Amino acid sequence: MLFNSFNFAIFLPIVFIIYWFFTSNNKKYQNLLLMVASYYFYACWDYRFLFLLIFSTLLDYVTGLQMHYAKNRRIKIFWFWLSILINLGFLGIFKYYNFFAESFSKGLSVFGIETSFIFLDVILPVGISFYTFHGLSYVIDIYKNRIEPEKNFIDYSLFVSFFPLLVAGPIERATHLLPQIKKERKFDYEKASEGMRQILWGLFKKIVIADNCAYFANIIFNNSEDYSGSTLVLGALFFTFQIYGDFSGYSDIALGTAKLFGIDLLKNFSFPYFSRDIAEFWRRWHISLSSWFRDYLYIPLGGSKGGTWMKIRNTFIIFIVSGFWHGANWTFIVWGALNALYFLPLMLLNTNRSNLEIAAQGKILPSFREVINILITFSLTVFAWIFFRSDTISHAFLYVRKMFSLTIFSVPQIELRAYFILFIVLIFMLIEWFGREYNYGIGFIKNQKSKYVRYFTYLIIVLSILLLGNFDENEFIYFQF
Amino acid sequence: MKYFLKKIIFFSFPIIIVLIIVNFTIDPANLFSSVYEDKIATALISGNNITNIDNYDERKLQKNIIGKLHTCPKIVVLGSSRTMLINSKNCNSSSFFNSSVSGASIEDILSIYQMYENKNFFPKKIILAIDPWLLNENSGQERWKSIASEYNDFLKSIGEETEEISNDKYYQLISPSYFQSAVKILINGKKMPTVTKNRLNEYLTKLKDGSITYDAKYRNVGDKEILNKVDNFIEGKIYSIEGFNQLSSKHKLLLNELIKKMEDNNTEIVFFLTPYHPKAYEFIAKQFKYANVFESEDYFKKIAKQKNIKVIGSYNPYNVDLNASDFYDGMHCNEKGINLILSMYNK
Repeated sequence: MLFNSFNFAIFLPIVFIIYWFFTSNNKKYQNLLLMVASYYFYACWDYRFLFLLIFSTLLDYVTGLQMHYAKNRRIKIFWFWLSILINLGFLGIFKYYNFFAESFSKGLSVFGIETSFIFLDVILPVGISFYTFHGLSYVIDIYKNRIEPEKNFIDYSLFVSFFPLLVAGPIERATHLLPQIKKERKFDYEKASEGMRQILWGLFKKIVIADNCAYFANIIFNNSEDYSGSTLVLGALFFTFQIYGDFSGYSDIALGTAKLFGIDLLKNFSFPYFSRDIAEFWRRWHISLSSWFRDYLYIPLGGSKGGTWMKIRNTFIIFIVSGFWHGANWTFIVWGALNALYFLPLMLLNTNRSNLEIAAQGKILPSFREVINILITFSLTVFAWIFFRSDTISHAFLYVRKMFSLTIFSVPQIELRAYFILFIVLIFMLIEWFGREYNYGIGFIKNQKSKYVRYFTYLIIVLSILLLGNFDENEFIYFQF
Repeated sequence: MKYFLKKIIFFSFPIIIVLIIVNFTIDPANLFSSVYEDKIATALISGNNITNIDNYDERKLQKNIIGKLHTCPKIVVLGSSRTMLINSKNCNSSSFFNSSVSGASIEDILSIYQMYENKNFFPKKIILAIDPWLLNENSGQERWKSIASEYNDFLKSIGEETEEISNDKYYQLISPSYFQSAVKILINGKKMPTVTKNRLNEYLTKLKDGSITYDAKYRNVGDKEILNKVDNFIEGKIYSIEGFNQLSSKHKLLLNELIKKMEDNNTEIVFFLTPYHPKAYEFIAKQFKYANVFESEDYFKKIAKQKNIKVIGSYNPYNVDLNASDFYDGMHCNEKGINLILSMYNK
């Protein structure tokens, strides 16, 4: 069930009404309802993988309790590694097995050794990377004695499977979400209104920005050898806005939906395209994943505390693993490595934390220097997205080579509608700029005193969605990860 | 809580009402009225071609036309948009009618055949377009529901129980895509059917033999644009063959019953398998999830052999010597492609 589908438009109000009208006085029933709704939501994709989700949930739930009550450290370690290996094993089989088999096979063939690996014809269970990471953080936190295990299975199950975050995050932490699940939840008008606004903005990002940009990005990337350099620049730009509109739009809908049920999820995006350096970009893009890798990989590896070589090693590890998390393809690994290269000078010069606040905070316009920094960071990001979007490494390099040919100075070979979409994107980015000090692009509307202005703005957004949107119910890109 | 709901309803209710009113009154695909189809049918039956037509209910049009036919055509084509270019000329017959409808499912084919039978019309030959999605229960084809009564007539005639079929055309009243089409019509005006003697026109033309010629832009599309169309075709969900988990036994039974009926009525049957564009075919062939496309081709060929039915074409373009220049997009052959396939049969 997609957030941008008719089915979800029916499902959400039904769950909302039952939740607040029939179970509002009982936290237990509220959680049970949300758990059942979440399992139903997941089963709408493929009920067979529901069993995998339930198994993974049970495994981590039991592991948490076993580690907590373990009589000695060896038993604790046993349960810890059992859970880690099974969780990563599932991820490995479903997501990475074919990639490794193919890479080994190709690698060995270089030395004249022919192998015949068995390839698996399995579909990647939707959301597996997300719920596996939920479970991993929970188990690691208990192992490190940061948290107590959750004893109530329904509450734990809801933590893993809460439908707004189940298939594409944000990747929640037990320390943040479980206390909210355990707490009594009363209807909060302000929070629910905020949720609706955020859902509306998320739908605009997905249906108007992402899905329209996707149309042109797909055409240009799929036929890159036929296009001029200038058209390829536009293709990269279209994908840049497609992936932002798609994923941050999804996150807005997820966060907004959770608010309707009185739950705050972790913020996942914070206007990353206004970043002034790559370090800032990574503090603003897919925040829940970046912080997960920081806490559970980078810091345990020593973070930036060791010598220069250790810092370089850790930076590369975290970016490459992060790239690999997105998918079993060398393109993602190169994308990660490229970002590590961007990040490295900042870390070595110790300037990676120089832009902690949002650009031009408290001001309307940025300074000249900020504009230059934003443009440079944006260009580097656009360049890296080429590797992310390309089908293969050779495709990416051909794309880049063609893009930087002399034809970059020619008039782009693209239909007029593409310029119209770019114009819409420009307006969208302007709105985001004015909303950058809020949690989401149109967060500032709540401060508007006149309710007529507020409703007029909502109406304009709804009309824009209805008139400019692409209603093919396109899947969200991050579902495949 | 109640205040919140009231505000949501207060805001969304007028929008939904406007959506319904615009979609119903403009009705871009003429779902809620038959006047448009009736006008086209009358013109065709009078021996004219008709152009400048857009978004009509093709099933209702077939019902209208067959209802108005005075004599039974000797050759009838039952199929999807992929066989709409088969015409009286490339079949060498003046007693010919092409009853193909876009995205024809097994239910469409049975229902349209039933329309002929209800009129006691039994064509000498039926060219049956065998699209791969005929045996896919998850093809997503729902348009046949506008001729559900003929579908139930067919079921009755083979001694099966009739089905309760709800027509979800009313969903279109709140459909944003339908609203976008309606607004476009509001801005540009609605295309009104125009009678013509010409075969090729600026807009899509329905010819008097039931076949079509595409609009000028579609006919004259460049190679690059065709490739773009193919890419869009294979990007994401492929038309009607998603969720093709098994060859539906229900659909197999219905197809076999149809063949039996046709045989009982002394109708010669020809299976027509329209090829995919080479790039699309190669893509589909590589994907495990589309394996049943090829299983179904084998199945169709097997029953054709058992029942002595002629088979023309193949989903594989290389089997019928077609190349990229014989296509308009990922799954539609152009006239040259269709003529090539038919010429192999005529030989």
